Amino acid sequence: MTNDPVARSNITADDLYRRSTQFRVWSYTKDKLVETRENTNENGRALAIKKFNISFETFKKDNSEIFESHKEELDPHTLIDLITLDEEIKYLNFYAKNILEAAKYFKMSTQVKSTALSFFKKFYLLNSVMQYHPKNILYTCLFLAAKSENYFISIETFCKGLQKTEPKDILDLEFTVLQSLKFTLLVHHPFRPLYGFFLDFQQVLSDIKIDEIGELYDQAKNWLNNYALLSDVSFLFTPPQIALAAMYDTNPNITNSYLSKKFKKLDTIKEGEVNGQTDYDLIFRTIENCIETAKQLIESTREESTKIDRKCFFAINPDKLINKKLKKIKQGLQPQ
Amino acid sequence: MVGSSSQFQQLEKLGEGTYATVYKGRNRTTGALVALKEINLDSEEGTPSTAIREISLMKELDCENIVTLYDVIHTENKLTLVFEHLDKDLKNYMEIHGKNGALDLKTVKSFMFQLLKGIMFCHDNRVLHRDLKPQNLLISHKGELKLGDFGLARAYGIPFNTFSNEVVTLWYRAPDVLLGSRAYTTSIDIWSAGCIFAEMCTGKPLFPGAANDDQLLKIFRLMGTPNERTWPGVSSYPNFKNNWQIFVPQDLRLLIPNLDNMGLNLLNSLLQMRPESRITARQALQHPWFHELSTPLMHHLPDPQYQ
Repeated sequence: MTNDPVARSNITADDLYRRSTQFRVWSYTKDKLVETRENTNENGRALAIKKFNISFETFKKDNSEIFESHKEELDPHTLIDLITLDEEIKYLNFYAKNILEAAKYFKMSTQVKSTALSFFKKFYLLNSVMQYHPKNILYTCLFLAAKSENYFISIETFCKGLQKTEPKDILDLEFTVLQSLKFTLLVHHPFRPLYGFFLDFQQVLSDIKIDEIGELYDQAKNWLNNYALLSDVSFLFTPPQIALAAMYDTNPNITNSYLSKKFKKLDTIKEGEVNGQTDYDLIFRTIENCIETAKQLIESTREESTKIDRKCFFAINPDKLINKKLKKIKQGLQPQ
Repeated sequence: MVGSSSQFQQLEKLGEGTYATVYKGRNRTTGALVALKEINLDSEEGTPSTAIREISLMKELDCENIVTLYDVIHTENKLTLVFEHLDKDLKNYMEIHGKNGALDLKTVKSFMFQLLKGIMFCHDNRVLHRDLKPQNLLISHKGELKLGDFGLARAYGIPFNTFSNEVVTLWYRAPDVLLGSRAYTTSIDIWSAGCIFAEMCTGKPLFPGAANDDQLLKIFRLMGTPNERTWPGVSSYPNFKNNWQIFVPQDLRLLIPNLDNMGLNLLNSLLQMRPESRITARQALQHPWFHELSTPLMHHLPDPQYQ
């Protein structure tokens, strides 16, 4: 095994990260991430259509007359209105924010909150909202994250704090979520490396006041909460890269002088083997890329979300969609 | 039908784990043997958090000296973790192959090396096993040793000062934990490794204590009663007492006459009373006692470079 640490003459923190499931299972290139989402949405649509067709045939059999007389209104193509990829992304972003609110309500740590969001994003990378409605999935993710991060909360207390949620709604989904997560539950967040950089900045930049670095640290933490958790950065970048992006976007001057000192120094150590300038350029491009991705969050208004929510409901429950339409037609048929 | 799922045929019971029952199983398609760890879900809380954490850690630990978790199966009211199956645990192995339980030094050396490799892998990945004991070390017919039962294991990346001190089976529990330390670290697994090392050489548990205080006394009797001079800070542990019987450290050689000097030196480095004096798994693997295990690769074990 090439991974065997005993067999390696050198083992770095990067090697350790590469062994993690976060890297092995959940790291993507930008293209691959887009493709995965497209596939998931496509699968979700296909599934919803299949479900719709079954319902449609049943209703048609039982109401053949109306279906014959109102062909146009009851045409499957007119009836069915599925969620597009763009809508699905917006909708999920809208729901993801509920995790933040619920975590705040239960006074859960940043760790639990971040892990729950990570679970939620991973789940919907592989499953469509047209298959599983996000409301109960998001609570299941939060409940699982609490268990996984060792924050004890009973299902009773948990459900009491939520609206219209029964223990069964969550417990029934536990395994589904675990399975979609491929049972990989250990998540590395950028907060620890951020703290590491906070310490290292003090060491490397001895001429800068500690208060200034402290303020940078606090603001960078906010940055992580505001941008990193909800966006796709954790699928595309490593936790230290995200932490550096947070610091750079918060205070480019200080972060830049840290990076220059850190990387340019390497030039003098070994020629050829480690090229400080190249590393410096690479990390810079990565950071800029990461900031851009983090701030690319597509948001939706409440109205838009309500609209998508309806679509989602009908995609999951085609019976209700057809029934509603039928009722409307039947009402119109009734003699005045 | 008896069986956890149609995919596996359930065979005899192998033992009771910390929170589950383990059965031997056979994959119906391939015929391969597996260990099926069954966890009841009848609790009102769904999947127990111990199971969640064990699954979580096992997925990260991909190492030849740690048992592999193949799959997780969900049936109506239970969760089954499908593990790699090994013939025996170290306890049965010693009973069957040992001379009154004691193993020959060549075997001890090989097992110790593998045990430390497994521990190093855990610690590199910021995982504490916390419950190392012969029953949790699995031995294959090829003489491979693997760490199993991570039911009590814990990732220590985040603040690790809040653990309950009611873990690790008493006999293999480190003195700092017995003294009430809650801020323990990787060194607790190293102490357990030392106890297991001695036990493999003699066939008898090194410190078979009956209760917390008795466990401490058994340790003191051999390692000496600690004081502020031998262990600065020892008096600030919650369970420290002023009136302990005073013992002086004994020579481990008298207890384990069959172990050579180099081996005794390693044992001594593992069984340091002060947690910070215990060597790390990585250092232990570089100990000269292992040099004769002619693995050409084992001479390079630098510490991971952080930054």
